[in-house]
Amino acid sequence: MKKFILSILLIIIISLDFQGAIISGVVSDATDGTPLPFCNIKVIPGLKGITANADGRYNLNLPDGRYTIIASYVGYKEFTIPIVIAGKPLIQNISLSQNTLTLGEVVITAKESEGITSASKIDRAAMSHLQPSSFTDLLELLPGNISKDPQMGRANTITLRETGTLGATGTPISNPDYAITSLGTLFVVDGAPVNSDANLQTIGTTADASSPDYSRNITNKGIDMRSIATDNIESVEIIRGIPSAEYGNLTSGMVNIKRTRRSTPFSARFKADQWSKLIYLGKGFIIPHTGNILNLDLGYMDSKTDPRNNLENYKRLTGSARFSLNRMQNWGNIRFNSSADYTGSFDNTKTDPDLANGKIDEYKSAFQRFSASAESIISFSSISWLSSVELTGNLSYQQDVLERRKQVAPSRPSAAPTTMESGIHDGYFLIGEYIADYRSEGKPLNTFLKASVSNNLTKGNIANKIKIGIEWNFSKNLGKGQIYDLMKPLSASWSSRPRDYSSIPALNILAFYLQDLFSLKTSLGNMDFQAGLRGTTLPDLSRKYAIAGKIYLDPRFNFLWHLPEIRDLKPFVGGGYGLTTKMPTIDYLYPQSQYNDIIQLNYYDLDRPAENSRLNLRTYIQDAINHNLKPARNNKWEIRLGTSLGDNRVSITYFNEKLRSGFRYSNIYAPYSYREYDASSIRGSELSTIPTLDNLPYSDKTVLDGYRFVTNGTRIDKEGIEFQLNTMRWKPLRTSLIINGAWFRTIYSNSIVQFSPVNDVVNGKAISDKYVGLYDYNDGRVNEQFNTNFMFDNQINNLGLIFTTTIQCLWFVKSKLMAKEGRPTYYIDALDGKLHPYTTESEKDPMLRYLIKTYNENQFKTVKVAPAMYVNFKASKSIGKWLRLSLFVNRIIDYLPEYKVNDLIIRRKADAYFGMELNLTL
Amino acid sequence: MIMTLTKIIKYIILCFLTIWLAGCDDDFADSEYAHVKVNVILPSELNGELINDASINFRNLTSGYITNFCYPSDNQIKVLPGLYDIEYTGTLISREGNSISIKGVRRSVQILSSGTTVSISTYCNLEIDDLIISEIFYTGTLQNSGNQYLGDDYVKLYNNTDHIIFADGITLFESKFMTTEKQTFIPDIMNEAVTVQAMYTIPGSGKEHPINPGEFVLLADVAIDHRTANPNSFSLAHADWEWYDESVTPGNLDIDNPLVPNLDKWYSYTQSFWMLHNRGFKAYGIARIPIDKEEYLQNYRYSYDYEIVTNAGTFPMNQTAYKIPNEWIIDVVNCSVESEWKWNVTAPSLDIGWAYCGFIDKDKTRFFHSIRRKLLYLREDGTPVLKDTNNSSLDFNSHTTPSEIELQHTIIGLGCDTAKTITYDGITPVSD
Repeated sequence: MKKFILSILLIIIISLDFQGAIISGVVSDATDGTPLPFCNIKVIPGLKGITANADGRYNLNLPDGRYTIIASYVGYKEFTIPIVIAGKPLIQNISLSQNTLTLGEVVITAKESEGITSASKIDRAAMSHLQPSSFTDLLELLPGNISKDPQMGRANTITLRETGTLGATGTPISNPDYAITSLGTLFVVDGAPVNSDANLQTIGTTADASSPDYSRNITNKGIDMRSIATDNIESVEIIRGIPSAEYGNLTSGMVNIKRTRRSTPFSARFKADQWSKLIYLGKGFIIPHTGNILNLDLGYMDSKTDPRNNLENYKRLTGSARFSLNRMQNWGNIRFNSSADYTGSFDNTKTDPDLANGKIDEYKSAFQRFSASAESIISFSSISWLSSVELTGNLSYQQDVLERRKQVAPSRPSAAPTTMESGIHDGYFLIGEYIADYRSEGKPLNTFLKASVSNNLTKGNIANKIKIGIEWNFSKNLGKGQIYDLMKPLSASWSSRPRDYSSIPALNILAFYLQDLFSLKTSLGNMDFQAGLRGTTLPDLSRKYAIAGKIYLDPRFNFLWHLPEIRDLKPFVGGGYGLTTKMPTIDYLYPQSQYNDIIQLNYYDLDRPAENSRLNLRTYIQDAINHNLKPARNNKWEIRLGTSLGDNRVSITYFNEKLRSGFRYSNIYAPYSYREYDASSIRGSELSTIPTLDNLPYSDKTVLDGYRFVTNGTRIDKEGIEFQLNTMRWKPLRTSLIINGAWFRTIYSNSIVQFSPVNDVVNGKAISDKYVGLYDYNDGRVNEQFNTNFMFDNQINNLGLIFTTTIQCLWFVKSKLMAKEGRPTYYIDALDGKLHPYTTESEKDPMLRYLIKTYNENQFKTVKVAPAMYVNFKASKSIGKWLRLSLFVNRIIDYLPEYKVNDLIIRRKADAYFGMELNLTL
Repeated sequence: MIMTLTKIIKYIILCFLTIWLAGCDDDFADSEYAHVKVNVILPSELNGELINDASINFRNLTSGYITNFCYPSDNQIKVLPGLYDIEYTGTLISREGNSISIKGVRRSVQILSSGTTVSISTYCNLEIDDLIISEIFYTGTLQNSGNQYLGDDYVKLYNNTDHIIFADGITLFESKFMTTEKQTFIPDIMNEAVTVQAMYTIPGSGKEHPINPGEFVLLADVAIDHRTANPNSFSLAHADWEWYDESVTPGNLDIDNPLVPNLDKWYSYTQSFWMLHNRGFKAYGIARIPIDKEEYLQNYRYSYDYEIVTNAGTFPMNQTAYKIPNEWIIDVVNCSVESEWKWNVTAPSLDIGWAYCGFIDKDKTRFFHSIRRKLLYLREDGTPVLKDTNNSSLDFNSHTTPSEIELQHTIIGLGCDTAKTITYDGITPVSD
């Protein structure tokens, strides 16, 4: 098939006229003249880049004009030469001289992107200096972030440009209502998105914050960054601003990971810190005689949440094989990249049987992802209407198994509903201890296909880059789902039911995009405008959904204006506006049904409880699907200013984002009718089996009960200023200073009114069985933080030594609970299931008056956390030819002044986090 | 332990006899009397409070003749030689304003000649004309795996008086506040009322449930034989009442024994079943609320502000609960553990001490233990008189074997033997 396409393309190319000429030559070492294979050659303008072949030969097809050729090769000085093409073939041999320094100066922090939107770029050198255990550690380099200890006992989710949800004291807490933060951040690896839409690994719908599953649950939360190893990453671009229309199904931002695809020596990395040990082995081979490259690597990490506890750990095993081909033809260029990857991510926790009286409590969760990708980019040098065609495909299959085994000891006789159907059934009495086994088997299958064409048109001072593409994303979970015995549930108050994942429909997301990057050279400087439109739709979704058949359009605009240079001063202004859309995940579209079980008869037999007791239930299956669910959409805009002065650079960005339709589970109340049987006439001594309902006196009643329901009820408003300053290297000390930081103000709240039941039981009646209030308030927080990091970067090249000292200052963290109105606006009545306005009469009603909630006014005061300052130290030193030794200590010094909250003095302490690693390159 | 009618008649006859004999004074010459020196050892918990109306009775066991002396104003105590029961009584007003009686008894003292010295150890006791809490079992038992079992908690009330008391209308309550967390509640009403979060009342018109002197009332959480669910527990199927929390939700299921009447649930803070705090950080009490339920529920809500102070910061809070005025309260027991106790959650006039099971938070030794009121002495009919001075530290034997475990001879701890001895108060054995 591929050959067929290629031959067609060749025919097209041959039939085209040539303008310009071929330039060719050999790249060799200046000292001995040996050819250097696979040298990178770049041509300016045009930014066309090619690679020489295995013999050092290159040829390039260029239209007439003046160009500069730049050749770069690892370990050699960059070579630059101007050339003129005037219709005749030209031979230009290139000889490179070796770089005498063993280590070049490298960028060891996140570079603020010079592109059209705000982004941070982190490359290999920065990563190896940082010594990360997982992708999470890289985020420390983003403006607004400071170093954090690895938290391997919980899912690591990303937050971009926000404070994260905070508790009442200003400390971070996880809140699943704001999962859109991480769900709305797209992770792309080598052109293909990492899809998490079909992840469903949870323990029922019964939330239990003490369960090990609670902190590790990744359903609806996007990517667990623990599972991403950094060692095979060449560079990462984290787009904080408005992403190009090429990327979608996101609200917040995106992480674009490019992995190493070049010839590298065999390298090995061994890292150890307080919590973890990491081993990585990798090599990039040149396949002889073809010039193709094969990268192979293997990584393993073993970490503990507490170094003293062997029973709670996290392990990661990764393996990757990547094949890269780069062929230059006289009509253009073919790049083909493919990869096969494996990621295994394993959580284990167990209680020590010696410490807990032989109690059994185990949790195991394994995610294993197998993925195959292919990406081909075909560029044409001589077709006027087509510059390149890109095709990307990815197939990934996950095998996820969650197992929980627990000794359950009901603290009194309890009962479990056991029916899978609605109607009237008997529950099962749980008397005495038992062992509960829970298993969830998820097999998410994802396919991604993308095709795009682009054309570059240059006329005089105007250049247009037009890109049109189409994308298809398929997710389906093939797993058997939750498997357990309803008569042996994980807790004595279990209400959830098993669910088969494979019966859940697949999710198809279809998207198209078109984008134009328009560049203009004027006397007022160079201007770039990017205008894009992306449309997203769910093509095969049932028509019951309001979202079905609709196309959601995301217009996105960015501009960057390089003002005329004033000597060394190169100022720029940029900005953008965009709408981003995240479609609901499989879990949000097809949430697990809720079972509302209502006790009709509760008879416990005194003499033969296991045989003759009867718990009769009326079961309702409450469909939790919200057919009116909309995608989550974020409105973003930003303004950027910056300049460079020689090698000094400064930039500042103001951003504002408003998301009012984030996904969350809300509780909805509805009346349920049931028959209340009077058990008092049952005579236990006369029973030979369970009592019949037939002759029992009863009364028909209704009761209010809540159920989970997916809504677009989450609001996240983000605002802030990000800044970065890089100074030139000050020669005497070989030091440069990098200052970055940010001020963030984030509002987390509900965006729709919500029900909130009261717990009071008055005169034997639970108020919420009869009435539940609807409160019109924002149950959320306004958080603010401001930080600045000062990094002193010393690179002493002739010693092969890099060391950095970073002073991280978190100037303040503020958090304020939004005011609440304790008086409900409406209440729902069990008798009619309707909403009634809450009036002054209601306040006097003996039951309704309990719906008024009271608050302590001090709750709504702003809590401010005093400054925190930490000093981190990192160093790496090359020893001999093959060895590099690195070490780091985070928070080697800290300054944590006491502060007062509501007259209480708060004292803080910090522990150092340290580790070291050894890198071998052979 | 019911005082029979014949015993009451005997007692009345005895009283008449005493009065008659008292009329035959001064039949003997002074030399025939033995001068006795009485040394009254006052309770150690007293701090020099003034004792009023102290007197000493000498009862001649042979003649039944009683001689009464004021103490210490009667400087000369003289009785005829013989075998005597000597009883000391007095009253004092405590700093908290309670009228406390002080009593001491020496039985069968041989007085033969002058110069005999008799020491009487005395103890304090409140004169309360109602039931008192005699035992609270809140810790629960353990299942074979070592997991807790909590359905077998109970409270025992006791008629410590010498006459019938009706249990109708007595409200059992649990304090809202914890003895392990001291807060400033605004407004502060602790001197007037107890803040409660659960209230369950013994039903009845007022004369339906007579409790004889020396008789117990067993209030159980779940009045079933718990040995079915946990072989290490015991039965509560014989309870007098149980608190049953009716719910339509299986997750909140409570068990109802149809043969044991339920307490009337006035108020609970939770939609789930109510159980006693199993680490024992609450105060429990009984009250007689003189107004009807609807009026009480309407008018006695109490909303207050406070701040939870932790190492991480302060959390301003507001809560709403119910309050029971102190004058309606019959008896309160503050419970806590030594390592965690911060304060008592009731006014000092109600309780100035606290009882405990276990010594530290989450103490694993606390299971299978209860707090039991101390025995002072046995009445002649064998009914125990229990100690009540509104000081739970002194009134209770803490961390003792529960009475139901003793009576049912079930195990006293995981992997331990069964209970062999039956005691009055966890310490003093019942001798046959």
